[in-house]
Amino acid sequence: MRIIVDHDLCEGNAVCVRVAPEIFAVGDDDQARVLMEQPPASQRANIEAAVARCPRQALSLRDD
Amino acid sequence: MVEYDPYAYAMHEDPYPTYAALRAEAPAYRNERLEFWALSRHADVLAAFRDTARFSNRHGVSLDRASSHPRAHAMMSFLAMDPPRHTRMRALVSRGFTPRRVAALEPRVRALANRHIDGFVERGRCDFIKDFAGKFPMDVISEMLGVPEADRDQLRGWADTVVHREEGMTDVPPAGMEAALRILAYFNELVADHRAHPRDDLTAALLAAEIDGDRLDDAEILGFLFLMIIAGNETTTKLLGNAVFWLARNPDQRRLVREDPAMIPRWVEETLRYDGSTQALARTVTGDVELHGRRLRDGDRVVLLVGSANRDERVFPDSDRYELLRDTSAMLSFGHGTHFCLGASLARLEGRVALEEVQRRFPDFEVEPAGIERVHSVNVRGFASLPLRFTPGRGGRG
Repeated sequence: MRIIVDHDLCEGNAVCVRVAPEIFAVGDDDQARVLMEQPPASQRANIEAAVARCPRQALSLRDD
Repeated sequence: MVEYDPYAYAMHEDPYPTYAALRAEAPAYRNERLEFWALSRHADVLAAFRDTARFSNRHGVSLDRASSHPRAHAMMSFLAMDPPRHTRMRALVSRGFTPRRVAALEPRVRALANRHIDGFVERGRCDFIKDFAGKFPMDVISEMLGVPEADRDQLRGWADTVVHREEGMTDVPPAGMEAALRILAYFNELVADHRAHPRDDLTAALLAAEIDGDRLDDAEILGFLFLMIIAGNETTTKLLGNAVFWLARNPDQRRLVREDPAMIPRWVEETLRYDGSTQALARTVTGDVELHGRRLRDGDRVVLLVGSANRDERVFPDSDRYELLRDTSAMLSFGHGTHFCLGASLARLEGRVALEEVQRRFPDFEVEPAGIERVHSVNVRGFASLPLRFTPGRGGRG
């Protein structure tokens, strides 16, 4: 499971941080950052919710 | 058979029963007379927002024919563009609106709110729209853009004329066209003045914005300023009026706010969901689209009923109840995806700060129903006049 942030789209609304605070942070540059390279499977539901709720559609999830 | 006519004054009084009927009976609704489709379910509105290839913004977001054309971006800026053109423009203008940048405006925004409250709080009554909500957002955006105080009333008057519709009209009236041209002429001068006298505001930032050698031309800057004055102004005015109106109508919810000021952001959010100012956003169908057994054809106009999606009982249980404690995170009041409202953080800040000051300075406000007037607009919902009465407070610095 790999989380991809499209930095051309992200505007730092921080919805992902509210949905999955252990996985995402928004830095001083107003960009979302992924805190864990290999998030545990237990976080999957939260991550999927963050991807779906991102108001800018800036997040995507890849299984590879 | 349900009929939805966004120009009918009766619809402006209360569109929600019609929305419910559309969701139940005609989720892909066709109005043959006015030649548009309407999507009303949350899932359909969200999917359309996400699918910019098939639901295009290239003719703008207005249902009015006079505003729906390939040059709509002259007044709607990037709201009337698709990617990749939209992506470029948004990148150039978005930096002034990030949540962090907007948060820094809070002290100034609060001072502007209190300045207007000072003007009426000792009287014990006000017209909440004319004396406060109609002025405050224009102050905020004017300060950001560098519009002098002396010009703000005039600019607001033009902006109101642009969106007003007389009963029976189904397009932009001549007065609206004229007001729009006056706004553009005004901004043309403002930009020239900024070039002659450089300063530090959003207009200056737009003039200086550059990504890899790419800059905004004058027409793009004017279009963006026009969008700011329409989108950044009246939607927030209406949101504030709707918030005050619905809290006064729901005493149990009002108790929550009285007992805990930390509820005020929820007051903003639930008002956005329950009775938001932006009710409808149009798109242009690209390629044929099959939905609920109907065929939407290439080039058709389709209106996404945000106000209905936010009342969809499939997503919001007891959706017709105004409840501050509910989960509002699926609301579509600011759109979603590519065109997600650039001003969402600013609107939320203005909403919270204004309502905090209302609650601090005249918390026992009551609505005087006799003087209420609605705005008659195709896509924006709220009051033109909302008289309030309250225990007179202290003027001065509050």
